[in-house]
Amino acid sequence: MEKDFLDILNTHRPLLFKVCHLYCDRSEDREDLFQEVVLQLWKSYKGFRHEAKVSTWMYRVALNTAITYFKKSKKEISSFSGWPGYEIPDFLDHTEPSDQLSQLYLAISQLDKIDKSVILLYLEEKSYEEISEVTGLSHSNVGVRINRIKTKLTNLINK
Amino acid sequence: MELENLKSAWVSLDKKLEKSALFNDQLIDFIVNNQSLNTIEKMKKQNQWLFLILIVELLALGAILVGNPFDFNYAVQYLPFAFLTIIIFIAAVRLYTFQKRMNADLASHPLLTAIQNLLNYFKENKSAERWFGIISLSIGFLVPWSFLPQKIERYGVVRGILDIVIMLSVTAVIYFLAFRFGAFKNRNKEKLEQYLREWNELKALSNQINNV
Repeated sequence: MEKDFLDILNTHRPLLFKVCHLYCDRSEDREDLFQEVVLQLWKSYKGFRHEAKVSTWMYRVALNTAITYFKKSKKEISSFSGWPGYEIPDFLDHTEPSDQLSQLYLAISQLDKIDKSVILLYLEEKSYEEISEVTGLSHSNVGVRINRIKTKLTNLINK
Repeated sequence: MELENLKSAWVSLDKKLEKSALFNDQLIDFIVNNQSLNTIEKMKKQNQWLFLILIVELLALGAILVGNPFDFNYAVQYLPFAFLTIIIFIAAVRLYTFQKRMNADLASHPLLTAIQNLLNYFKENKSAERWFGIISLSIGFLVPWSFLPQKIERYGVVRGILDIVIMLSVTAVIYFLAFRFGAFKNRNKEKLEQYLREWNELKALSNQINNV
């Protein structure tokens, strides 16, 4: 079971990085959220019955954790230093902030937490049904939200 | 620029992220340790707050015993409050020594041993804790009787006693609700036990990774 969990984690690690990036700007916060997501995944893995797709389950746990995640105080973080040097890759090209990905990321960062999760799943080319399953929004609500978010993002990018 | 055009940039991100290093045992170890320390830190903070509350209660009880704000006429009326002061003082001392022991354990033992020691402490003191709880709650039932002489003086014997019975009933209801909602459960112990379980599971995972 442990080996399977690790395999799943490694196979889907881009998913984890994307969620952490979308919800945290600072690398320390990303590390913190990453830890929390891995723990929550492990805790819920025992009850995961493979009825849903692995990626759907992972998105659900990761996004729920990110949405309900509260930053720990600075004091709490600094007292547990010793991050083992594992680098959560920074997917933005800081030398070229005008590239397409940076523009998209900056626009998404201005959305609220729920809209962020919806647009992430949309960008990942998930079906409305899957988005609905992960977020708990109704099928029609997903469609309406995506249209609104797309308009909002287009406006933000073209500003 | 349309969002659809940017979608391809997002999809290409996967290729870049797939090149990142695989998760390793060190990372899992760190997450395990960090999680446990956070739990213990929270517990320590809760204990500090509880200690502060007990000190405030002691000061309030001291003020009652010295200042007599309820106009007690007989020495016996002070007795429930004196018992309450003693029991809260003992609770504060026990909390202080527990906290000190926890800090010493954490400083001198590996985390897993320290947690096991704390769980052993809870186990060894289970019976004492139970008696301490029963005595504390019983004293709560004595406190309303301190007001009996004034009640009788003001309302007569029957209504005076009835008033006290009402106060006792309210106390009983509060105790019942507190019991029902788990206020008397040792949540610290439960948290540590749960943590230890998670620790062992994650440790197994870590070992598995080492063997891969």
